[in-house]
Amino acid sequence: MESAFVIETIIKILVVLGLFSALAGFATYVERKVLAFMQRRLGPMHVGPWGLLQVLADGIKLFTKEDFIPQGANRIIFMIAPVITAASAFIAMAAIPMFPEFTIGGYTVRPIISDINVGLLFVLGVMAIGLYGPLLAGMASGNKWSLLGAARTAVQFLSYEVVTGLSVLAPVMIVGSLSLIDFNNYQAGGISNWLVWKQPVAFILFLIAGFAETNRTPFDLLEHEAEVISGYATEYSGMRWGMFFIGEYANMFTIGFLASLIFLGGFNDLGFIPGAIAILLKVFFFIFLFIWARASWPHIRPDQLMWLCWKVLMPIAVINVVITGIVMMF
Amino acid sequence: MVKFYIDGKEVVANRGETILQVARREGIYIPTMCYLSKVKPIESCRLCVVEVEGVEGFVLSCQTPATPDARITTDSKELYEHRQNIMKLYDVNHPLECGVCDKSGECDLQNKNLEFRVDSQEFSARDQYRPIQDWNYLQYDPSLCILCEKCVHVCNEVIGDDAIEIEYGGYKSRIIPKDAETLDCTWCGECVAVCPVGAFISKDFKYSANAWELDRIPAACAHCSASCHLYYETKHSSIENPEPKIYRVKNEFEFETLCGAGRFGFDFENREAKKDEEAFKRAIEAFKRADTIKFTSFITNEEALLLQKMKERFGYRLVNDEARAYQRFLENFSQYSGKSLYTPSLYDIEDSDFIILMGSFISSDNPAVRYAMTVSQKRHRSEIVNFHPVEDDLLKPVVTKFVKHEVGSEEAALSMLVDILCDEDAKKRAGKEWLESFDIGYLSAESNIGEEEIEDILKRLKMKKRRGAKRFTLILGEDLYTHPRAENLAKLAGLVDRFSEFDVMLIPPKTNTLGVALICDLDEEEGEFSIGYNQKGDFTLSALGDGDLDMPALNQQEGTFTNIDRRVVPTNVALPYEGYVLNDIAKELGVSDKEYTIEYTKELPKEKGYKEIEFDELDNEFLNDGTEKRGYELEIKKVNLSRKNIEPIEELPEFNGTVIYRCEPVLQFSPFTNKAHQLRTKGKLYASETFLNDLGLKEGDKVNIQKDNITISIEVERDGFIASGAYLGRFDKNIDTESLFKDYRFTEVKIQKV
Amino acid sequence: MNGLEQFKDRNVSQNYYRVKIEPYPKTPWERFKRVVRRSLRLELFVGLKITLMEMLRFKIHTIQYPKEKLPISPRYRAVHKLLRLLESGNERCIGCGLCEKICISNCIRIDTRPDENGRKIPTEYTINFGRCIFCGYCAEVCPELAIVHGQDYEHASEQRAQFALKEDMLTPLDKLKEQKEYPGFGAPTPAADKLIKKTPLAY
Ligand code: SF4
Ligand code: SF4
Ligand code: SF4
Ligand code: SF4
Ligand code: SF4
Ligand code: FES
Repeated sequence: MESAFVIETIIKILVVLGLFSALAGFATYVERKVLAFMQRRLGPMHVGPWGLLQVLADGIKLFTKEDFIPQGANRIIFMIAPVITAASAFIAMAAIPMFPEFTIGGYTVRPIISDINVGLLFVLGVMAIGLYGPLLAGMASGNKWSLLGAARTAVQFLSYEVVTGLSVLAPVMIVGSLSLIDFNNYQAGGISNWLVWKQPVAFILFLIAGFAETNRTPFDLLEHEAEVISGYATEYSGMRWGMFFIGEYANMFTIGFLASLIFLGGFNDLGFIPGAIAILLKVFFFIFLFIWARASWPHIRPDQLMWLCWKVLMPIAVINVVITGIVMMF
Repeated sequence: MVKFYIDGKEVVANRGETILQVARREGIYIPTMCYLSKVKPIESCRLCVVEVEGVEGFVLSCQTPATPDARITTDSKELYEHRQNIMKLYDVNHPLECGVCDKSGECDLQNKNLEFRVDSQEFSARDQYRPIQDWNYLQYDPSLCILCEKCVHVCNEVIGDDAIEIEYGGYKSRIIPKDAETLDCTWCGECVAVCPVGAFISKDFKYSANAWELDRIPAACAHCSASCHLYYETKHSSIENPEPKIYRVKNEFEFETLCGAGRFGFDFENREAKKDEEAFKRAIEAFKRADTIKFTSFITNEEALLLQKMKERFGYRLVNDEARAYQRFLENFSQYSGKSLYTPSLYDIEDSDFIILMGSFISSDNPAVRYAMTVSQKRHRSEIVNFHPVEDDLLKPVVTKFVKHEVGSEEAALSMLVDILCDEDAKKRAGKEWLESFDIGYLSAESNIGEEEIEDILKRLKMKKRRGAKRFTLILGEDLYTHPRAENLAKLAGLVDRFSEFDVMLIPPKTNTLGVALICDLDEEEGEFSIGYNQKGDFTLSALGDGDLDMPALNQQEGTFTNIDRRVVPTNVALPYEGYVLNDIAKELGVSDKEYTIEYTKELPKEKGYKEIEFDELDNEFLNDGTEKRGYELEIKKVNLSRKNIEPIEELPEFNGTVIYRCEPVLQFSPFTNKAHQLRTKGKLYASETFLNDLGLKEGDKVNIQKDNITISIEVERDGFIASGAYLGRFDKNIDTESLFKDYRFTEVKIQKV
Repeated sequence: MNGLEQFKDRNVSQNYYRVKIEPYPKTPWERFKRVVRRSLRLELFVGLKITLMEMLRFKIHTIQYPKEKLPISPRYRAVHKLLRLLESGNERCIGCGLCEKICISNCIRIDTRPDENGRKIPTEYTINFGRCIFCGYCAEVCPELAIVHGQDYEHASEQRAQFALKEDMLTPLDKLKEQKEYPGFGAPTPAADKLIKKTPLAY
């Protein structure tokens, strides 16, 4: 049983790693296409049919590019910073139950690498570690733009961690557990049981914080070209830059899964749609939302970002928690 | 002195000055098309008209002298319209071909059309067929010609060839060779220079560059001692080759005149030269070994000074036969004239009323002197007497009396001149011996100069003096410096200068002979191991590119020359030079501590009349009124007179059999002119018709010239410009004519047909 | 290319409109009002709607260069051409050097000499397209309408200096029929004949 567990876990790890790397790649393709269509363009067209193989071409490019480290950089930190981002993004996925249980040849598989009872805390915690990637990268690059990017990372991620935590606190109070499987099971009764109906405010707060945590428009201040070149990633190229990139997309998926699991009924069957498909649809909806928002909205200023976090979102989150508590008491 | 007013400005005219001359001097603009400062007013364009208050109609300013208190207007509506109409008439049937015309960009017709806003034409005339004429170096396009006649006048009044004239015929008028099928002249190219439009052009330059593309480098001509002011015009060689190349030579044609060698012989540069360190090392070795430096006078003053410094340091013997002969002649001359240098300049010759020329084949020895004599003759009908054994047909239009004497009898000729020019007192200074030896019957018989000829000269001189002649010049040439009796000749010349109204000019034979003679202590005898500079030596430095170490040619160098006017004139670098220069050697030897050769310009010997002026401070231009501002003139110092008597006249040498002369054909001076692509030719024996007949030769024959044990095989060419005799040149470095003429310019030889 | 012709219409100014900018809020109260107004009007969602609608309508404007190319104006100033005389096929350039002189980037160089008939011809004509700024002065100054701008704008190169020689620009003799007159800089205006004063002839 022990060895089977080890093998199973290893397989699951490999599947998650492979799948999400591939998905991240594919997501870039989707993002480019969707952005292009929304802007009346065609997007990548030349590599493969409708530019499908563009992802491959980019991959090859990233892998074969010269890996160089600027003279003034702190070599070691510069080298490991992207690894932190990528690794933390994938580690966070360890506690996420992706799909319902299924059996292969009589062997029951639980599509979660490790069901820890504080799953939600773990995920949020590890994602928060991810902020060290950009922070260290920016500080180690020896470049003013990078440093500015790093500073922005610190304020942005730290602030929004608070909102994320507070916003999920209310659902946690309702469900009474930190395990994501418990969340899933809590909402097993169909659409009407989804937590989003009970906690709409928390959902919106979580989503907004999610944009900020994944560093997506309108909160992509860390590497905003018009202001700080490429922020913390200015000096990066090749696969090191690629790791930041994969990390960002992996985080998008993580947030997508979290939002689906916590608020939108997780992998429970949705009418005739089986649970596995249902959660995929929900996740892809969130991915699409990320892209859609990027195509539609301008990004905001750092001061507006902070203002929004501390003066608007956090008070609302606190009030939400208090009201939830009061409602639960009576 | 006449005071009058031009456009309200008070101006003063010298006697005889025209309104236009005064206006130009004062910087007041009056448009002209046919005016050329150096010739008499041509009066063909009528563009120079001005209004004079109180005078009916217009007045031609180019030929009208000012009257006291006249009030002159140079511009008014009427004048403008008048001039505009003249321009329109010039434009009738003038081809619209500025796009390809060589003159475009510097064309007077273009400029004046623009100035008078000619933008339409009311006049018309039937066009004529006027084909382009091809005349050797030149081309003439009658359809572009505006018949201003500048070319005709310059050829006649300055050059003296009188080779072209106008063929009148209304709209058919054109320039034609005078009395000849095709043009055969000395190819000075001055007609090209003065032509205000693109009618007279240089065939070599034709269509190769546009006026505005060329860079102008002011320089001094390096070919003869006149060192005329000129501009080398350079541009990149071609699209493939960005190295600059000289495309043509231009001059300040309003005031000075170039000969054909200067105008067409410009590309004599040492192009291939590189910094060859091996050769340089060998050169330094050679300098350490050598005891003699042999050189020619085709060098700058600064280089001469470097050689002198080397001599002072290492005791080299400086050998330069031609300059040495000149130096000795000048020294002896000064001891009897009391002046360190001769006084007349080319301007003085132009102003002279009576000129005697002796010992020089002037049309090839120094064309500038010839032009100056022509000017004097045409301007005020001066008397010009030429003593020479060879009759030069080119001088026919100017020389009023030619005295042909026997070869070698210059001493007799000069003595006879002293006899008539100087008074008794002066003759006494020559000494008793000389007076006793002066036997006019003998001299006349031996030199073949008739006594009546001398009397004729005296008569002419008296007549001139009666007419108020003021300036008299005796011009002496290289025949005298190389003469075995040169010392005595120089002393006699000194006497003439001191005791008669004649000023004596000693023509320096080569570009910088005067400079070398003043700067270097020259030696007679060669030592054992010699360095040759542009001469054959045991180790040869050569600007022709054929020696052991390359040197820059004179169009690749900056520095100064001392020219015939005793003027120190600057020249500049027209083409790049990559190799070593004399200063590099001097530096290596520890003689020079300067980076550039021109830093020596201010160190030229002051006791010889040079001034302490930096090279970059030297002027190099002409002012509006024709004043030459080039460099500075050498100061003439007083010299203590010699108390020695002049030696008695020796028995005249006899030259029997075939005698040939040493001089260069027209357009050649040295191997440098012969290197220029337009002038390149093979050295020949140039013979007169009579000479050919006497020896039974005809043009194209090959002959052997023999003297002692030297034999030279050479082709014969007929030279139509000499009436008697034959001559050999030194410009072809492949033919060793040097050894035939050890001293004197005439030599006895045997000529055999092969 | 038909569908692409529409893009040639550069005359778009009549479609401009002015964006109304409301006054900037000054007091906190005004700012609060703006937040409320914007939130209630759901302006963010208007943006989302627009992009979504664009995507669904799928009206794509991309030109698939280099497979598709936009037609350019005949007066466009692209890589130069040297033209020939239409009847005789002789080169028009007479080597006057005006283009060389006027060129502000100094990138034209020509070599000239007389030919067998004594006429001036340019033996070589080069333009360094690495320096040319396509100002059109050379075409404008040319008295013979010899140097003109062509339509070929694809001349990216790996080197800064990029020379075109005469044979690259000159109309090949067998393509003489296809040679088109350039209507741009330096070409005579349609009314040129009327503006010219004629010189009288004597016959
Ligand atoms: S002579 Fe002068 S005006 Fe006549 S074609 Fe030549 S440049 Fe033009
Ligand atoms: S080249 Fe000189 S000599 Fe000959 S025609 Fe011209 S001006 Fe006269
Ligand atoms: S050729 Fe020239 S200089 Fe001579 S008349 Fe004609 S325009 Fe005058
Ligand atoms: S277009 Fe302008 S820059 Fe280019 S060659 Fe012509 S004149 Fe020169
Ligand atoms: S301007 Fe025209 S005719 Fe003149 S050189 Fe240039 S291309 Fe030739
Ligand atoms: S300058 Fe006086 S008539 Fe020509």
